[in-house]
Amino acid sequence: MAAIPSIACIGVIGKNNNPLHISIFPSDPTNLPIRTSVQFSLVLSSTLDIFEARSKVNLTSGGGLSGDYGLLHAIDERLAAYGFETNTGVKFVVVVDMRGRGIGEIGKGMGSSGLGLREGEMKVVFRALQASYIKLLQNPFYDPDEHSPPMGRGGKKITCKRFAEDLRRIGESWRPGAGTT
Amino acid sequence: MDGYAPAFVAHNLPLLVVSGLETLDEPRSATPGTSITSEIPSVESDDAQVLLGHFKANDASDLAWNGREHSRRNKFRVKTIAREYTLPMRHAAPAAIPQPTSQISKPVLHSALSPLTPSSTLYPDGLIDAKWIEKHQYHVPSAYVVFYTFTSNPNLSSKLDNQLKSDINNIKTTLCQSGYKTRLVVALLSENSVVQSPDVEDRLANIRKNTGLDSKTSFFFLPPQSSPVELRTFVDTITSTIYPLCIEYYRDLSKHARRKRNRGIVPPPTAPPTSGTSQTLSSQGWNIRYDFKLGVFSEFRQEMDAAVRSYESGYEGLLGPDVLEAIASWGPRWNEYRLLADVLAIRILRCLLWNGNSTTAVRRWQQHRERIRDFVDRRGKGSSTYGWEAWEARWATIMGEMVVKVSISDFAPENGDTYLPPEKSIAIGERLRPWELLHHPGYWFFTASKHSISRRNLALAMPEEDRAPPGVSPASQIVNKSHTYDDYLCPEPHVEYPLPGHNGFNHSASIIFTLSNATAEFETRGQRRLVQELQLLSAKESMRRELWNDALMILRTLWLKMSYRKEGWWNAVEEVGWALRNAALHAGDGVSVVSVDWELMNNSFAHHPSWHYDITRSLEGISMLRSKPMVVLHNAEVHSFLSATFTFEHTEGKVGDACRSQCTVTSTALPASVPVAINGINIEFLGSMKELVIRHMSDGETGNQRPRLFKEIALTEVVEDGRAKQTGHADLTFRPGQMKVFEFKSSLREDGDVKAVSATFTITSASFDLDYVHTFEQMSTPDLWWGQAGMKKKIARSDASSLTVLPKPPKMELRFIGLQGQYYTNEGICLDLEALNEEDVDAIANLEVSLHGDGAPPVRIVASDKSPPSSPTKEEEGDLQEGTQLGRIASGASSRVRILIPPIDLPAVYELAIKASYNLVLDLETPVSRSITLQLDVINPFEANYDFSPRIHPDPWPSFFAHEEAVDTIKVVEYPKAYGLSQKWCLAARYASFASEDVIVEDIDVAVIGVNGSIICSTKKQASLPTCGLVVSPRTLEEAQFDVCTQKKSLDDRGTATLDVSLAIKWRRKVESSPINTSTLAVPRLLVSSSEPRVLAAVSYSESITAMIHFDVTIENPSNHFLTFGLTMEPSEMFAFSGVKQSTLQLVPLSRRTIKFRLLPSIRGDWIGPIHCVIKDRYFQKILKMAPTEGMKVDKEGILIWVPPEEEP
Repeated sequence: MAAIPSIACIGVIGKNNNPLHISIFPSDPTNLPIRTSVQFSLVLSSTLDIFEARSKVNLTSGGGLSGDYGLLHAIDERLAAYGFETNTGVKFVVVVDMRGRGIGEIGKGMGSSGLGLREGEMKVVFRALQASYIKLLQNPFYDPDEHSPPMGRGGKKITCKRFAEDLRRIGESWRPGAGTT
Repeated sequence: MDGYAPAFVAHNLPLLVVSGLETLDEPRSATPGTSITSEIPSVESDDAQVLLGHFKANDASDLAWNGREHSRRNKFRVKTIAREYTLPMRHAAPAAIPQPTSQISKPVLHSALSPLTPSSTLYPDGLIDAKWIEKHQYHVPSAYVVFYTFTSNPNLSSKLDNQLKSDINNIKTTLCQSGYKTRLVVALLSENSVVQSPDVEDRLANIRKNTGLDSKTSFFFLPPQSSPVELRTFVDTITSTIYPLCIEYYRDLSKHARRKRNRGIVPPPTAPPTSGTSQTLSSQGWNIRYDFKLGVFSEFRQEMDAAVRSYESGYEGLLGPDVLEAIASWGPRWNEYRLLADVLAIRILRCLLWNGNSTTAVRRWQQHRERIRDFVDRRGKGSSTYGWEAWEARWATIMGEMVVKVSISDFAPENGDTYLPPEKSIAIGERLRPWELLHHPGYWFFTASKHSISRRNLALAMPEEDRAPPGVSPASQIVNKSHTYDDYLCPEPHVEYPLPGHNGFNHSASIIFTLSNATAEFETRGQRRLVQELQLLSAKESMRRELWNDALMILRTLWLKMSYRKEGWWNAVEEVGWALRNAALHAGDGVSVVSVDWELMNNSFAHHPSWHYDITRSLEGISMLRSKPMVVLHNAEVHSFLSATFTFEHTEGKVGDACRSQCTVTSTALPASVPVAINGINIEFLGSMKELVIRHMSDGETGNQRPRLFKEIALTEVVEDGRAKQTGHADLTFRPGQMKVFEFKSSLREDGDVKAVSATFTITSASFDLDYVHTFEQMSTPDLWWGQAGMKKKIARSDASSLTVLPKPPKMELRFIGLQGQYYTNEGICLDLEALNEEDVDAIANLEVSLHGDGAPPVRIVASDKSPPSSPTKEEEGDLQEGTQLGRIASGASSRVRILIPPIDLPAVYELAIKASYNLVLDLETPVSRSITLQLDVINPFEANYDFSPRIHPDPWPSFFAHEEAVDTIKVVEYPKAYGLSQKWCLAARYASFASEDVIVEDIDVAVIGVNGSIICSTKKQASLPTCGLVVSPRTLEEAQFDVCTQKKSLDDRGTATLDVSLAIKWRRKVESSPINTSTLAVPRLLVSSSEPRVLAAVSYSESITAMIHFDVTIENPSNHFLTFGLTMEPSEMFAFSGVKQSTLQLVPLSRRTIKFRLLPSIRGDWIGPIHCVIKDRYFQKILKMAPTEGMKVDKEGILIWVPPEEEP
């Protein structure tokens, strides 16, 4: 059965590199997440290495102003992590399962390892994530400092239901080539 | 790539054999072949050694697999020998036993490595053998370089040259006969003493001619005495000259292979196959063989594009319908073919990476895997066997190793790229799978390790009957087994997962090895979080092998240092924690077990229902414990469920005051966990506060269950282990989610800043000791202050755990009683001081008094008359600096002292500083002090001015014409007898009181302090003051007059004399029985006894005629001259007078004369005048000024006389 990429996990990581929110999505064909939540945590945490390395390079080269880090790395043939950093240091990591969504017999010609991704195809996801995050920030009961204390250690997770719901919607509705999410 | 013959996977380089530089040959191998020998010994010179070194250094076999490195100097695989070399046989030897065939023709001999030769392993239907590559890579050189010595001895030259020629020709012939087209290259090294001469050229030309060598490409001569640079160049010249020829050599071989391929017929084997399958290699098979050869020869020529084409063609053929599909999948050939497919794929990958086609390479890698998977699923034993996973792991490892070997510059640690951008040939906007961007080898090794783990899982799932060693299990099972399990490049089931008691494959070791490869790659690129994940996997593998100490070593460091805790990835922390606990439990590391158990009680972690969550039972089940663990944990290194904050109620406190503070301990333990009983909490302070210790004391209250408890702890001060501490008791059992607020009241002893640093929770149990140190950190949320009833208030301070202790405010009051408004000079000052103890308890006080200022007199303190008689204070003669003991002053009582300052002569401003130091009886340690200062402004009570005027001395002047006998001798002795002129003066002192209140002047007097000039002097007060004294109000002027009589001791003394007197005013304050003070005022120096003549006017009132005034003018001539004066008295409107109107007076020396006038004034009750009575020295023509005496005053124009008013009848 042919498959197209789907989002397997969305991680929102705070300024202190602390997890703020992790949404995990099921993958086909079992309709279960392809990794456990611990494994996804490890995957998300490992992307911080690349954020760090890239931001160092960006500092010297002056690039990366848009905050879009593009592909961070492919963890293996199925999973690849894409990253975005807001200018307040909050990072969005989207882990894409390249074979996450079965499409039956329709896309048979796409080869066995699934459809690839175009450069910038994740931008819509990040834009949607950023919009959701901004919505969260507009909530007067949400105090960003509580979630990433300026002292630099840990922080609370995001418990806002609407934000979680937004992320779930973003993660489920995205498919390659889609215009907006 | 270790599953494949090295020659199969290694990159190919032209082989160059260098003969004649090494001195010793390797022992001749037993393989048959064409032997090249030479009778001329190897060159033995220093130059030869240098050249040998250069040749070896030019060897390219260890270079990275990329065009960058191969385009440099090193191009050959160099083999150095002495003189003997064996080329392999070109054809297989004829079979020893003639084949029982009925063929007429003589059997055709083929290469020993051909599938046509019965002795070959490939016979009859094999494809190709690694030996074939070995033959070309290691044995058959493309060029054979022979070094000879070119002799310098002219006598031997022709003989040796001939020898050379024949040797070269011999080698040439041998090479030619061998059937290989190896190129012969001759290099001559001339001996050092050869002189460059035409003779040498001739000899060289002769040798060349006789051997038929090309002077440009095959014949090299090294002139004598070459420099090191020249030697280097010589080697480079040889290699660069012959390299194109060597490439040509391999091109010829390619052409040969292509020709054979294009011929399209299957050559007949030497003997038809008789055993096994009788099938011979099909023409498609032969094509694969030729394609492979073509590809290898292209690699020899470093033509990677051509190589890829050949390999791809071979690969397609191999996996096409006629080769791999056509043969039986259970035979060994099937695995051989599969292996060749892998080798082709590896070589294709290398060529792609060599050319920088990284994305294509990854795609090719995936494509090969998919095709093989497809094959295995259809024809083989399926892709769900451990063998398939083993191959997948191998395939990923191969890619990783290849990427390492290709050494891509973007992956160098200094560039640190994670993956390569898509190669240039990929169209922009093409859909790419992220994995197709070539990632660095760490990812490939990581992938391999995942497959290794799956392989192990599949292996472990094998049923026991399949794992029996061969020979044990029945034959039917063996057959079954061979149909189920794929053992391609991996062990058979009985080795893969042996039955207990048998040795087998070590999965964990292989996984750990792959992981360590991956770890090294990630570490060099700074991906430390990913490394942590790999370390965790690796440690888990170690634990699987029960290498507990290995696992513990990894996990302990990981647990301490991991980024997950700092960054709040709790599920990752938990994963590491449980792993560490498991390892530590088996390794007997009690410290780690307790540490992990402590941390895992935090409710950030998931609850495991089967776990007891009881810290006291932490060490249950640990067997290898060596000693009782002493665990010290800090809040920075562990995510503890207990946290503490320390808050002072106020920012500031004062010494002696009690200061309230709260320590709030919150437990965020898992709800299911057992309450933790702490033995004690020590709170450490920085600064002058003593350590605070709370000890556990169960209060057994049921209310203990409440989520928040407030407890006020009474502190007692004790000294333990030489340290002063404040201790208290409380129930220190913390239930999950419980918060306990402990409030303390501690008294402040010393001033300074205090900061609560840390709280140490101590658990001492039979099995372990644990100290958890919680360092108070500044928090972003405001600190809270809890009230008894649970209300809280936010403390708006940045750091509520610090306190500023101010010195104690004294409550001892010092005050003066009966302080005068003003103090005066010449007055003994007496100040009554009262020290009032307003403290709550008795105080023992000490008083220090000091007076500051210019010339401050010493101060005395005496006990006040009013002080209670029990007071021990008496007159203190002790050192005032040390103070005067005031003794114990009861609370609310006071003590009085009198401060005595002796009379001060000069007005001044002094400061009186009084400091009372005291200790409270209940708290003798804390010194308290109270000090006051008093400004003491001492002024003069009086100031005076003076008027000094002459008077007429009533006594007669001595006369030259009178004689008097000296009678009384006793009087002479008593008083110095003065014989001079007596004069009388009047000193009028007008003094004013500058005091601020009325004072009583008791007496006033003039004291003669000194006289200048030989006179005697006496003073007399004219009017005495009233007996009860004269009350002088402030700012009023009083006058006192004194008669001063002076007399020269000698009549002949004409000198001027002066008089120093002072005015002494005896006064007292207008208070009952106040002491009398004497203020002495200085009087300006008085000038007396001039020798100049003077005129004095005197006035007296007639007693008979009321209106008449006697006006006497006395002229004194104290000089020794006879003086003549003219006198003129002018009439006036104011009065009528009788007397001399105009006259001349003559005065003898030392005489005086009085001229009398009688005036009848026309007015009454007023001053009359001025009286123009002019006395003029006739001789000097000088008017003498008339000096007034009493009853007169002087105007600008003359003397005025007071006329008393008419008396009322």
